Amino acid sequence: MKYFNQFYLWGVDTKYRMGLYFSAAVFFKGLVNVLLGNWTVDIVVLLEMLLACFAFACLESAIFPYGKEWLAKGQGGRIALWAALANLIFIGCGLGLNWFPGIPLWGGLLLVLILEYALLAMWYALRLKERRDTAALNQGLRRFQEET
Amino acid sequence: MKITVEHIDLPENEVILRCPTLDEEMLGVLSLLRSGLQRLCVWDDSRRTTLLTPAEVVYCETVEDRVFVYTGQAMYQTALGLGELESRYSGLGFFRAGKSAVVNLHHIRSLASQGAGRIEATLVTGEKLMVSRRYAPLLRERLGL
Repeated sequence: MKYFNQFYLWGVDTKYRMGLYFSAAVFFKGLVNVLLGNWTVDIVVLLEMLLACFAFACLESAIFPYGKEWLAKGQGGRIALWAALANLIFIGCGLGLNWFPGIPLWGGLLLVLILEYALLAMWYALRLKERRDTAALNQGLRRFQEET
Repeated sequence: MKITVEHIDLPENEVILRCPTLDEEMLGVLSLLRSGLQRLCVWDDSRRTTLLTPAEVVYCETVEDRVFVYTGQAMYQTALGLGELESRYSGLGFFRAGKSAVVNLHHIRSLASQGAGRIEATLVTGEKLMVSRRYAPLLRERLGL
């Protein structure tokens, strides 16, 4: 039962991450298709994107298991590995599986830039959340120390 | 240890401890007797007992089944367990920060969220103490968050 629960919790966490990446991939795929005058998305491409996102979410949960801090000191190597895998999987699949047929070179480069920005934004969001939590904790501490 | 209770006519209850030296056992008895007061009975390396006010205590920790009490200037031992320290002085700011530490919230300089649900406390002495994932939600609750 213990192992089942561990697996179940892992599944819930990974599913959430996979869904997040998949929605972003589908959004950009849809946007590019619309800009290229194509109002449909192949189901095969959607399936490939889903699998790629699942693979990345699994690798991400292996690099940062539950409870492992993303922002702690000495995590630089893990973060670099995570970013490298994101680039490898999404750029590799985009090129290898031809997710964006007919896109000009500058459009492809723009998508890569957006990917890098998104990776940075995720890291920044975590840091922002941590800072806000720290401020709330210190405010609570001061209040406690003044009141008692 | 031999325990004798004498019923005699006295104006005030009296406890007399007889021993060749103040060993761990006797220090524990002393500590229990004195803990009835709001003071914490502790002893130092030279087995000299001291009564500390809870406000003087920065944090307490267990190391190899011994409970050490740290003030800003000195380190002592006490016979009380961490659980007892926490329950007895909770109202005075004592908080269980982990399996082996109790911290006085009044002696925390700052707190920092550490991700994964943990909190790092920087004490007034400059030392850092980690509030574990298990106890961090209780700290938030204690701080009214």
